[in-house]
Amino acid sequence: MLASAILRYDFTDWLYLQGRVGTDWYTSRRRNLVPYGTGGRNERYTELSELEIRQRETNAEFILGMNKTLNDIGISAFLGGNQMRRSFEQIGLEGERFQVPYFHSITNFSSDNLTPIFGQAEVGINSLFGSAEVSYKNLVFLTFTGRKDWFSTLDQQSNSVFYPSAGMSFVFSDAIELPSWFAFGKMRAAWSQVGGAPLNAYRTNLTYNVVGSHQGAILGSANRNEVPNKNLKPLLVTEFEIGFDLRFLKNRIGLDVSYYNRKTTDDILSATVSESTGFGSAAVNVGEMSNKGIELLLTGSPVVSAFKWDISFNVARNTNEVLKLVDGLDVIESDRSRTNRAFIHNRVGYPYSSIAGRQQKMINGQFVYNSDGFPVAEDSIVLLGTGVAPITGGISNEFGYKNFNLSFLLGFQQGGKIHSGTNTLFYSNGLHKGTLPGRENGLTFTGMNTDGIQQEFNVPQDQLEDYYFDFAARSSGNMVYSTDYIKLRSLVFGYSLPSKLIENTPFSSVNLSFVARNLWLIYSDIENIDPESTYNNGNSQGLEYAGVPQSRTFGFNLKVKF
Amino acid sequence: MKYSYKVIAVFFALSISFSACNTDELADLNIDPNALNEIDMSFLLAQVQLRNQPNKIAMDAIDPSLSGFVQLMAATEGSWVVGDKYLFAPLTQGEFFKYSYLIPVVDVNEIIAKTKEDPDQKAVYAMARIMRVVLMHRLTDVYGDIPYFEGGKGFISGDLLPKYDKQSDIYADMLKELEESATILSGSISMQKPEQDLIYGGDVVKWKKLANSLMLRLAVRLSNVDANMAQTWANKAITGGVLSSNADNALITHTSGPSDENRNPKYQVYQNDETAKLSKKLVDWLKSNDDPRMMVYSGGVGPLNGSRDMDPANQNGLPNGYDVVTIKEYEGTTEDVDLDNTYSRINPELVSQEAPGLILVYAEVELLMAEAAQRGWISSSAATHYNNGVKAAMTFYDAYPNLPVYVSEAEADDYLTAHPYVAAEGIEMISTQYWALNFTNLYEAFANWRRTEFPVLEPVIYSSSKTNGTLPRRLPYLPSEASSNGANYSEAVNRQGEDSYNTRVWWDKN
Repeated sequence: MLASAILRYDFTDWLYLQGRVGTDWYTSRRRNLVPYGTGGRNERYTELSELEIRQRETNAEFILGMNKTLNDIGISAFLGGNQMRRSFEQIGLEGERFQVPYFHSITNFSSDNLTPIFGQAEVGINSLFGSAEVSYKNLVFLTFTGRKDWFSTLDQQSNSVFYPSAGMSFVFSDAIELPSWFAFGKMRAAWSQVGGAPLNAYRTNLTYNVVGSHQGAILGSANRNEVPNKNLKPLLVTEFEIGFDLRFLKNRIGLDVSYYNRKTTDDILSATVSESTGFGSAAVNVGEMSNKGIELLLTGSPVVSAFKWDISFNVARNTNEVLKLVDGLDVIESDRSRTNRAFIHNRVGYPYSSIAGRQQKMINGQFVYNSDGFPVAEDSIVLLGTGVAPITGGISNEFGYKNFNLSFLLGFQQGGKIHSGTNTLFYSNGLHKGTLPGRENGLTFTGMNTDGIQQEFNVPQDQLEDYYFDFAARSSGNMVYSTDYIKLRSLVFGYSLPSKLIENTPFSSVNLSFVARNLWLIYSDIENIDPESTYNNGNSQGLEYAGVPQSRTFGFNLKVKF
Repeated sequence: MKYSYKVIAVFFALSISFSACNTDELADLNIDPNALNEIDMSFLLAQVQLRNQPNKIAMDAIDPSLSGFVQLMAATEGSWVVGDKYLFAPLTQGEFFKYSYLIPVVDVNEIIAKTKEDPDQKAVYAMARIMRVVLMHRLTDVYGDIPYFEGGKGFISGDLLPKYDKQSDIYADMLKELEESATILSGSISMQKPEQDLIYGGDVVKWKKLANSLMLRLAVRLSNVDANMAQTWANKAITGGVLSSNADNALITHTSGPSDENRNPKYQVYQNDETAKLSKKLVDWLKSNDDPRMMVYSGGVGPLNGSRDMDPANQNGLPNGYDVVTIKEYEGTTEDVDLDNTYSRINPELVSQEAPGLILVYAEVELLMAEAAQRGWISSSAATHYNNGVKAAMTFYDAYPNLPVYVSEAEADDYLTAHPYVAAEGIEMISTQYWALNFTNLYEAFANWRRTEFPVLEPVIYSSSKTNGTLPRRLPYLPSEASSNGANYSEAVNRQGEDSYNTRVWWDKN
């Protein structure tokens, strides 16, 4: 449900005051049955939950604004304030172990297998902000903004952040005489800051809960999922960007280029910490991180006749580096593979979200094996590449002839890595084709022993399982792959009914198209998995573990306009 | 009309802009309505006591490994083969490390920090410090160097990279902690909510005895690495007053519900995988001595939910180190061996939901004193302590409900008459009794065996064993420590030795 009320008063024809209150309120009712076969669930031993979630966001805002033009100079400015409040509530029941198989009802659980679900959280942001835009003859635009936010989710001592910005754009093709093939030219430059904080409630103080009772005693416990942090402060992103938008030959060729240099200070992260802290994670300000990059978009229309062809090519390159971490930490682990032998590390001087693990040990260029002939892993954990590909892009083509249209989209990325938990599992369980050698008669090979002396090793057939486990799981570096790919993401072929045919109908256009997505993995370096696999919905990329691959879809699309 | 709009609009705008700067109301938003900001620390104490025994997942790290290492249990298949054949399972075995810090240690640290300065909470403060030693000595005995001083203090000190401390430093501090706690408990103090103490119902005198008894346990542990230190602390403990009867036993009694937390977690561990059997080593020893505890340990030969042969003479242990194939050769058959109907299972009542969890019992104290006397550290009679210890060990099972047999004092006396204490074999006799006594307290069985290497155990030789033909001396650390606490982990491994089964902890010398 959405509701809003606006009150506006115009003092003069250029000065006004406006108040607005809006609320967005929704309820969602969920029923979740864990399917049989998931992690050993069956028709009796599975879980069912009934859940209702209520969420509400209310914004109350005022704006004092002005719009005035004086000869060639236009001024548009406002000052404002906003109060945002968001509340979340969930209530429900969860049961496990059905009494009667296949009877999927929350009533079908014995009372000691039912757990109530209850959650409540409330967060808010107060803001004051202002903006001014000055234009000269619609050629040059200057924009200045400033904003201060106060966050409820941070401690009162450090809960606010002020962030300004300044920007300029200049349509130089209107200001100076250019050759006729140069159709349009605009330059833009901006310096800006953006502040923020995650809206996760209750992470600044340690709290306690009663967790049950035993023989008349009340059991209490500290809430310790995450180390609470009173000193959390808002993050600040400072960015400088410069760009050009250029069009040539009657707009048939377009080039949009931009360069940015972005520095993120005090990013807030839930870092995985050693369990010996008593906690699984800690809310921390990460320090400083830099992103620099170039984005390029080239568009063109090579053929403009009855047959039409439009092409667009985009590519982006981003260089990421962690500049500083929290004092006292030289590495922050932001995620961990379920194999527990590959990690996502953030280290100073390296890209954010780097994969960390152990390489298979080598002496003088030869792999080292222990007395059983099993691969030996290095003692130390090293970085094995970034989980975020620095180069990404795509090419799209659109063709049209009479009533037919055809388009397809290619996507690619380059330079990223992933640790494959799926292939680790395949190796450990003998399902990977790489585990075939030795299956008949055992393995015989030469390599270094742990003393650095070359010798012949024999691994009997019945110990191959341990051999391949050590190869894949312990030397987790062996399971790190490049995520470079080229994909045919989509293909659309359509037909529009001739306008004559629909002249006497209420429709102004009718288009029927065939749409296919995720059609063809043209190039990939990884075996068995999709190079775009991810692990969870967190912000750590570079891990994957037996995820469901993206599905290939085919469909028809009917678009009717009235 | 126009004027009143103006007033409303200005008023509206001002009210929002004022409240934008008023951050008290914002701060109030961040107070969780469903959590407590303050709590009586004795609520945490009861939780720490109840959960001093790890939960099922963490106990999977302990019982299946340690019971095989000390050859009290044996298995040809299933999860218990890890301990039976010294297979390496650091992910599973690290769960105990993980659990200890995440659950009881973090809460016990919280109690200590919050009650330290509170004169009304002195008893709770001392009990918490003793509980911390209970938790920490198990961890260090099992793994070696561990984060001790900084462990479990992510919030209290903000320390996110706890240093691994040397076991020698840990032992020195634990002994000091016990001495100081005993001193606090000597004062005229009482517990405000005695019902919150699940071990002794707020009896501070018994708590003092427990502190001294733990001190004795830790002191004797140092017999090989520093005999003088061991002797000094053993004397201090005994002079201070130790447990003096089975009524003083430090136990957690469990109930069959309402939730898993109330039950003895051993129930789930032993019920979940029934492939483990009593070891041949244990059954043969009980049988050859005509030990009246045979049917305390053994649940008979036969399936769990069927008829079982409960005749002590027919009990049969499974030898350690065999798998489903090699056991056929051992039994001289080509058929699959019917494990349930061939070997004795563990008595289900010893690991039932309502079985007590052991922290420290009187029988152990007497056996430790017997050893102290045998080594000449104290002047009392080793034989008397030994006899008291064995008798207490046989009769303390009264604390377990529903056992099919209980050993009477008379039966215990008969056993001692038939098997009198022999000073020349003193350490072996004492250690063997200690081993059998700690059948359900495997940290102790494993630690004491490593110290004295009695009873004599033949290492298992199996193709995938990870010890090169010796018995394991510790458990490996949690593998993720190398990433999330890498520098400190490496420092510990460099100091202590390879993170393997074969590396010995500081006190494990002979």
